[in-house]
Amino acid sequence: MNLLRSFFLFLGLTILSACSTGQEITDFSDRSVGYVWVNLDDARGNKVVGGSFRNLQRPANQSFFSAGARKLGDGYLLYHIGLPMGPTKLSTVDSMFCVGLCGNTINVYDFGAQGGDVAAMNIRSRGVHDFGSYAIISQSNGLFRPGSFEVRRTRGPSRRQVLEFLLEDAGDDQRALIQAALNRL
Amino acid sequence: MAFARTLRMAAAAAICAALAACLPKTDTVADNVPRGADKVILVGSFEITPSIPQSLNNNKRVAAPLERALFGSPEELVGNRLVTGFLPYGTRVTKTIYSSPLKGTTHSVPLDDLFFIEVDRSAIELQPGQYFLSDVGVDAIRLPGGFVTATHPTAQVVYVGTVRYQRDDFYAITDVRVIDRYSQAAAQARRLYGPNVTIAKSLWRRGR
Repeated sequence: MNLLRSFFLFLGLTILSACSTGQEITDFSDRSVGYVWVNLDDARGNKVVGGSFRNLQRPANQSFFSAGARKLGDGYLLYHIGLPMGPTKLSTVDSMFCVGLCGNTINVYDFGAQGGDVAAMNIRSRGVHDFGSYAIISQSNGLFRPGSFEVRRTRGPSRRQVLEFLLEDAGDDQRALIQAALNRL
Repeated sequence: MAFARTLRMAAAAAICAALAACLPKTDTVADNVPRGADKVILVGSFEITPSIPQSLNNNKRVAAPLERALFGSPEELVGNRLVTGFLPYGTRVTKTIYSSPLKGTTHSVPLDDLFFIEVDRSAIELQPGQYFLSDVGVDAIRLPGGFVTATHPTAQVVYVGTVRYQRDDFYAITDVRVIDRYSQAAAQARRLYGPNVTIAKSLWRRGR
């Protein structure tokens, strides 16, 4: 019985390790904090469960940065504390519909690799960078075509609110950088 | 039992053949000038500037080795290549849930090299293209098409120019120009098809 349990544990760990991608960031001396705020009032799903940023200067297999997602105000803040220099954009926002328990559908809003009009900036210096505040609006295209979405700029929380939130939430690695940004306000 | 196995293999072969038919053609240098008067060889090239780094062969799916064995490696199919089509002007490409935009007269053309592709002797329209950033999922950027060449009533080879896509930091295409490098292309065509090959110039123009 123990042998069987060990086998399944080993199998589970192997599968989980295969899911992990990317390398741990240990040196933050040239890394920035980036955040974007999204509202889901008119989108499928009511909870952001994940997302990613993409750096377009790197080859595709090293370009994605999984974002943290936290409820802030009437939307969600997606952020990453280790973004490298270069052109960077919001890549995906993942949402689910949850009322206590969550449904079995994950809606992935994919912003594509091309274009710098939405939630994109060229990071040229280390700092805390605001990628903007957006409302995601889902559109239905009938039974035989996949759904689509559009985004529009909206009013999100103030920079001070976001920085104070990040100071609490983002851990120690970039605390000094966030505090410095807060002091400048 | 043997009949069932044969049937299974036949079904697998049919599926492979159907899938392979959807893949773009990667051989973009025609061996000979066309014999029939209704065909002509288009000569030209494509550039993206600045160039874009790709990361291919990163697909770790279980079926990836089988796909490579059957259809070729991602490097061969889309490595520094533009996937596009050269269709007679006015052809309507209908995309439905049952058909792929890759189906039909679609070519995977190496960037920065001359292509020599046999087409119908009629006005030809360059279709919107795709440049693949990686082979994981559909990770591509779109390049505008819509250019038209009138080809030529008699020439065996028609030079259409170099399409140069200028991009910004976010891979958005900010400018498209057609560059005339006729003398280099003509020299290459004569090396391939002999000194007596007839070459005309009909550069891509913006369609209506």
